[in-house]
Amino acid sequence: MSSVLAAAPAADSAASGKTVTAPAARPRSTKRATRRVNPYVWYVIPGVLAFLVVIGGSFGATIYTSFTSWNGLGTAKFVGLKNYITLMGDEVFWQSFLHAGVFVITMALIPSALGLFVAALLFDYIAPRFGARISAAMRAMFFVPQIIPITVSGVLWVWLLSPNDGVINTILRNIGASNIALNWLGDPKYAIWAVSAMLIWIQIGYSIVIFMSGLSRLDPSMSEAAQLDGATWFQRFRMITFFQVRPELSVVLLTTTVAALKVFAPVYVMTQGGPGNATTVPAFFSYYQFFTTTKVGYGSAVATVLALILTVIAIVILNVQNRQGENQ
Amino acid sequence: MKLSAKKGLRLGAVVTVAALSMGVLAGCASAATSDANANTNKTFNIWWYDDKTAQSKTWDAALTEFKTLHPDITVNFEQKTWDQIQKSGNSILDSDKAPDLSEWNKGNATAGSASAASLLTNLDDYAKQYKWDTTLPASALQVGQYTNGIMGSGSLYGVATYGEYVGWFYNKDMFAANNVKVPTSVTELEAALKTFKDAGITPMAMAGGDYQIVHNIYALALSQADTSWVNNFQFFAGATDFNDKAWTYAVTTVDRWIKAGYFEPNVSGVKADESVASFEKGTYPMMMGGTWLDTGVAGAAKFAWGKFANPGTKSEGSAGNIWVIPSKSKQTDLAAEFINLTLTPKYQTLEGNNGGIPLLADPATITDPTGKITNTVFNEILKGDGLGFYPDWPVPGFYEELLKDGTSLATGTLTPTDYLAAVSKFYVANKP
Amino acid sequence: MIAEPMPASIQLDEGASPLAGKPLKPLKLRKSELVKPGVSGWLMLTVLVIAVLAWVFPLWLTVVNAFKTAPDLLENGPVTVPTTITLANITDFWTQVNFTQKLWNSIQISGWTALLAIVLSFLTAYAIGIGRIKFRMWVLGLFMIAFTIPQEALIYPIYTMAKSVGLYDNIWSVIIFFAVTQSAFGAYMLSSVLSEFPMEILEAARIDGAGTLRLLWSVVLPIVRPTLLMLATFFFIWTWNEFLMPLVLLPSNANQTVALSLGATSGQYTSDPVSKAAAALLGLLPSLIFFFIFQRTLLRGVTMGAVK
Repeated sequence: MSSVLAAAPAADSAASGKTVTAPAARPRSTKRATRRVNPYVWYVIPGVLAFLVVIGGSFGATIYTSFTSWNGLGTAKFVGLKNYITLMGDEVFWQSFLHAGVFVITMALIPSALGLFVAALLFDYIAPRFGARISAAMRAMFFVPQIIPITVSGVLWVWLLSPNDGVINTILRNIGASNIALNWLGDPKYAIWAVSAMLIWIQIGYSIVIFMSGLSRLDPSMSEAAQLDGATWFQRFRMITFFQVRPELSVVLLTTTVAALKVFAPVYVMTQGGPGNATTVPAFFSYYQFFTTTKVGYGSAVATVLALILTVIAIVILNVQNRQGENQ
Repeated sequence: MKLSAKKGLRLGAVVTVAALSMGVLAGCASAATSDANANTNKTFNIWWYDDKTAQSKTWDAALTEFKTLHPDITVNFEQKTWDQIQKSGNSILDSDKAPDLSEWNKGNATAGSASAASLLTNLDDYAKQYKWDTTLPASALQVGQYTNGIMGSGSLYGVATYGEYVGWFYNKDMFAANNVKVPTSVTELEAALKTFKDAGITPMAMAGGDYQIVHNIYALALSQADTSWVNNFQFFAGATDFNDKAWTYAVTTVDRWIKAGYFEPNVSGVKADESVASFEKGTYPMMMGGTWLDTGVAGAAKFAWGKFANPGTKSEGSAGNIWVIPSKSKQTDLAAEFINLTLTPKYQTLEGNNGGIPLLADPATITDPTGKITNTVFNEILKGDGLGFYPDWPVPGFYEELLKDGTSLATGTLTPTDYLAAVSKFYVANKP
Repeated sequence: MIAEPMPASIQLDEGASPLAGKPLKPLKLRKSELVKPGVSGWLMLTVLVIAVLAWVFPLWLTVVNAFKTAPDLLENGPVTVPTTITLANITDFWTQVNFTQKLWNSIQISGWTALLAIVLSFLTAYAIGIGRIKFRMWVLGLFMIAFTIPQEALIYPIYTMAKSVGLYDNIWSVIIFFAVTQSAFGAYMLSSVLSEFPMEILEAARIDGAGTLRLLWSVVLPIVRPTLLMLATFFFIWTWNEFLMPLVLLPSNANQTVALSLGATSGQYTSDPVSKAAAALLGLLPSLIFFFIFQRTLLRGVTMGAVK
């Protein structure tokens, strides 16, 4: 988006300057030309209309519902700001944001860092030695968790992490490490990290793919020069590769941060927010109010606040990104 | 992968387009036939979500007979899932996609709120016509009766055809090997637990991250409870004090059991599947479990097993899930007829011989060994007016809260006092 | 679960083949050009192979357990290979949920969603990227809501809306919802791709007297077709994996999807582990097959978001 917006003014003048129907050279007709309906406007109407009706309409309904008390059946009772006032004092709601913060680390930061490292390894260590085919195959394998249904992933990870018959603990006990065969999903200290492990498993493929593509556009001569200077692979990674893929890094971080803040399905399929509230996140909390306690009004207030916070965060990140882009 | 990207894409596009265009045709065709059906109004749509249980097998047989009784009716049966009814049940009832008859979840949050929103047919007249109001035990009728959405009395909106309870499964071989007798009181139960623990055997299979911990706490409370305690808690007949004797006993006892090692130390991460499997494998001598586990244990256990009722005054249990006729049903008479069919002696006996608990069968006619074990205990509970229902019924979302707090008790995050405070807070805040 | 759709700064790098994402294999090394691996090279390869195996290991679990008998799973746990191989779990589950129909429903829902979303996003992006209409920033800003509002929050209003227009329990309610949300993402992507469209080509066509429609159909569309197909594969697989919205909007078994069929293996208090394994295997196979057919397209698509 940033590039569309940032590039807009320049491209705009270029377009109007060249457009046959609106010659900028003749000042008199400019006024009339700008008042004329841009014929392309028609093409935007279906998309915008559909969006306004389906998403806009339901978001509007959610905002309205957030001012009511409603169990999903019959008529809603208008209660003004009551839900929002309750929300401000709801410990679990704020706790859930804290957990979302953890997931920003484990769904955005860690997979990006690991992904960059693996991508660099595959791209300019494995590929030059064993061929691009092997590195491409490995990349595809890392990507697989991205495409399988999350409901299935949830089942798999519960099998992996069950405390007694779980695969991971069975292996740990067999290699004599039973003291670290922990109660992964049952202990509030570890549950959030257990969910995080699945998130890393899912997310790393995404960043590997993006970073490998980023690496492919780099100028190899710099790296080669460094290699001739005797720099090790790791030195080159640290000094050169890392700085060159910064644009990709910011894209990956933006998309995954927003995804992490509204994460729902992984928590739903693995822990349902438990044990206790140890893995509750905002989106799950709103779902819980909708479907479990059937406090639809309150759930709507949660959802509205979450959407607003996310919009602000997204705008801030985009602005920062744009400014960085301008500086470069 | 010999396909090039381009070929792959083209192939994919062709397949997709072909598939989609067929979809349009298929869609038209099916729309046309369903219209035709609607016009003649000869369909009967029936749903249930029990699957491979005693009652689903029984209802299956009843539905086969029902079809022969009504050859002119097209019967459409759909096997639903519990998850679906739980999440979108009310949405379905509130639409023209509602079935003519369905199995439904009992309780204030489900059948209760639906009856209050006029989404369910009042069955009082059918009850008189078929004499359900006199033949069915009062405690079985109670789960289908709602006043302003609160269960326990009032008009009939649902009919149960079987019973269920939570009792104790035990491994007879392990009991014999350790000289433990079947406990009949709470003291004897404690003694049995201790004997096993002293012999180096963890005495109970338990899922602390699943319903078993919820049931265990409530069952211990019920062991100390009387009927008015149950009516206060379940039907709001009076105030419920979560710091009373029964609740305090239940929570402190479970807390003590955890610390004494009567459950595995990592019990909070165990799911019911895993816990039940380990009992079936013969790892633990005892397991608290509902009648829904009977056939599974009977099939899997390679040892002699038995059941005993919850020691003390009362047990968890009630009549089972209920039949409801949605207000949008177009075949209410047929629906009531089918409900009645499942209550006839023939199918009630079959329920027992499928390993389930019939409400209207002569115990002598039940010959199935599992059915015998489980019905003997049920009748014992009934004799003492011992059905105390389930802990999550009174308040919407209470199950999730009880599970959350129960797991936290198992992990030690909550002390017994914290647990009772949290549960009490939720109960008061969400009381309908 | 591919990272949630989210606007990313998109630009094509100059000179790279336009509008179709990045070339996948820039390094076309001939055998003779390969560097000698050496000991450390082999070591690193081993480490990575182990990591890759660990990554796909969970999938292996579905395979071993789906073909196990229930007593075998009870006795030996989920890690071991089956003592006897049974197809019963798979065939039982298939017939129980009528999996053929679920597959068919998923194909239809995902296919129509992809098609509709592509049309909507292409039209919008055409107006924004090529037409450079006024208020285009506002349009894109509006679409931002699609990324920031949690989908779960829209379920009640969408249900009410679907019911009032007679689309409840009709696959079109799901198709329309996903087509609109995904087209917002598609519009973002395509707008910036199209804003880089070579000006000379547009000008030449305009001078020839092409109207907006002809420009769209015979000039722009042929060039961006690969990008559209790529987006379509994403829309397809995103829709395929969705479970909450279809669960609520499609009560009839005849309309339900593959992603929902896993729910059939659990009751309130019971579940059937081997059947769950079979369901998991059947649930992931179509996605896996789809991935290996469209692997290059999908992976190139991921990179579309990251560029410059």
